[in-house]
Amino acid sequence: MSADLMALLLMLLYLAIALAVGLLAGRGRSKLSVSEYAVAERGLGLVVMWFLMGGTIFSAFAFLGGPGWAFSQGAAAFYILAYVALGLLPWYIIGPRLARMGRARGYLTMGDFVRDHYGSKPLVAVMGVVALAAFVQYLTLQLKGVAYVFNVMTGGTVPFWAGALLAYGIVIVYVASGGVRAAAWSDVVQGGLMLLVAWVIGIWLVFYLHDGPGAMFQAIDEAKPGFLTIGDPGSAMGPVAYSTITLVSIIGFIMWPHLFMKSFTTSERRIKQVVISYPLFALFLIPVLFIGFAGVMAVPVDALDAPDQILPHLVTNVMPVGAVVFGLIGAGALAAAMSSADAITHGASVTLARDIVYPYRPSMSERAQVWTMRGAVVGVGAIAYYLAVVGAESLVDLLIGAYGAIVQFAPVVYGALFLRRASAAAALSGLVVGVVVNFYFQLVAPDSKPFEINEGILGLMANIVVFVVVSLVVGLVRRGRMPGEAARASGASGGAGVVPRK
Amino acid sequence: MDDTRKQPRGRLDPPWSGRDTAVVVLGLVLLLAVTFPGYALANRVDPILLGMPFGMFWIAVTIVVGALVLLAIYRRDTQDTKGQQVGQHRGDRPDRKG
Repeated sequence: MSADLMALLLMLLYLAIALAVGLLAGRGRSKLSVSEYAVAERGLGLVVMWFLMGGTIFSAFAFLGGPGWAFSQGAAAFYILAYVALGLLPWYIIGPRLARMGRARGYLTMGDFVRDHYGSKPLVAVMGVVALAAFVQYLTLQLKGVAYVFNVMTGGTVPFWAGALLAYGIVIVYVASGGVRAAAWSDVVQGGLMLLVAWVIGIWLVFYLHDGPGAMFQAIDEAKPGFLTIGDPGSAMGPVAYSTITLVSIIGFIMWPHLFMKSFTTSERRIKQVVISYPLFALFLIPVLFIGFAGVMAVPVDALDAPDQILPHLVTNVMPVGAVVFGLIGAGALAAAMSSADAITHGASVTLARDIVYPYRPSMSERAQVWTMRGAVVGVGAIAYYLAVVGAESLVDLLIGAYGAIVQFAPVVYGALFLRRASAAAALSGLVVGVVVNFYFQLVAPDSKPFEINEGILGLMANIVVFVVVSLVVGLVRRGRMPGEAARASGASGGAGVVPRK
Repeated sequence: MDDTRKQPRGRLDPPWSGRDTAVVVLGLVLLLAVTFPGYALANRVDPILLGMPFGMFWIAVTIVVGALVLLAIYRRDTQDTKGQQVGQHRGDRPDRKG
């Protein structure tokens, strides 16, 4: 049997298993409960939560983009380890509090929380639209990864459009059917497979192409001085760019609405346990980066159309693997992309129904909400599919671009939790300014960034300044004109005002 | 679900504790270790340890140490709350319960 055919069969087998697990996970649960669909009745366990949160990291980005960064950017790829290790840390403080509030007040999404605290529908709708755009970008990235892997690993037998359709079609079926519980359980299978495959190829490649990782890095350092450090001649990135991309990724991590809403899927104690055990994922990423570094000496840069192709290139052209291993690698790569795609698709569907549609049609029945979410799964999926098959951009750029916009939610969320004077007007104006500044430095004038500071951080700085200034102004105006009114308003709707400290 | 106590905005439940401060400090220390200027200490290739350039090894060690410290904080956290009622944390003043 040829390697291509074997790969195709193993990938199809994997897809069948993923579908079965996804469908079985939702068995016996209510199909018409919003709470079940969105947050699994707040009852997910530690292992499932860990893989669910981790599936997002182990995406097409980790499997294709991570090695691509190591291959083309050298030490700058270390930022991936740093942000995965630290990104969830803020959740240790805010997650348990969100879980508690969520249970008491019935929150299902980030929008529910923000709306309750600021009493503003437009703010939630703007956040929802920004999130949806980021979700679609992110999904497009996963779909491209899936389609690419399918295409390359089957020697071109499965065309780009068919690979994406098949793999993502399965994701859509189980997410629409079983909601977050289906996404979570399929992530356990997908995550396990992916970790196994990543370690096997990472370590195998290093020992096949070099005499172990130490010798490999020694050789790279001799051939390309500066490649394995930051800010030296020969480095791909300077210290400021490196530090700020790490920082923006850490702050942005839990601001992703689909991750944020996982605060409502489990108990306070579980959240803390997930945060403690999460850095293991960062350690698991080390061999993934090894894959890219192993290619540095073996593959000339111009042999690839894009650095993201280094892993498929190595396993198809350089590494002498048997048909079964070849197929497993394909399945692992599919698993990586699908475990992100399911959580994102689910998050996008819940955000659209609950944060954009529901506030403007509060009379919607629970049944109608659930069906809107299911419809959104298909709708969002179709848009991402179209963009993936028709549009084109490098994988990593897409993700970082989305991150820049998502991180602008941070002042809104932390303001709601920690600042008594934060007002809806301040949050909304800060958010808009932040997104615009980010957009400008990312897409309009990327070369004019002061001190090479990451555009997300530039946006965040503008965002915070506007947030604070508007909060203070609104507070002064309210207090100056009608002190009694302001105190009452702040108690009821949570506007900026004076809550007397007892 | 709206019949439960309404907590004024900006008031944390449970209130800010020493543990929370410890987590924030831990986060800032770890952040300083993996970004500049702190990372400048580790920004080199030699010595290669456990097969990794020193910078990568440094980040890996930071990750492990960070997780262990957080585990220790969590341990004390659970010890403290054991035997106390839910919602009763250190520094909780009686009038905070609505």
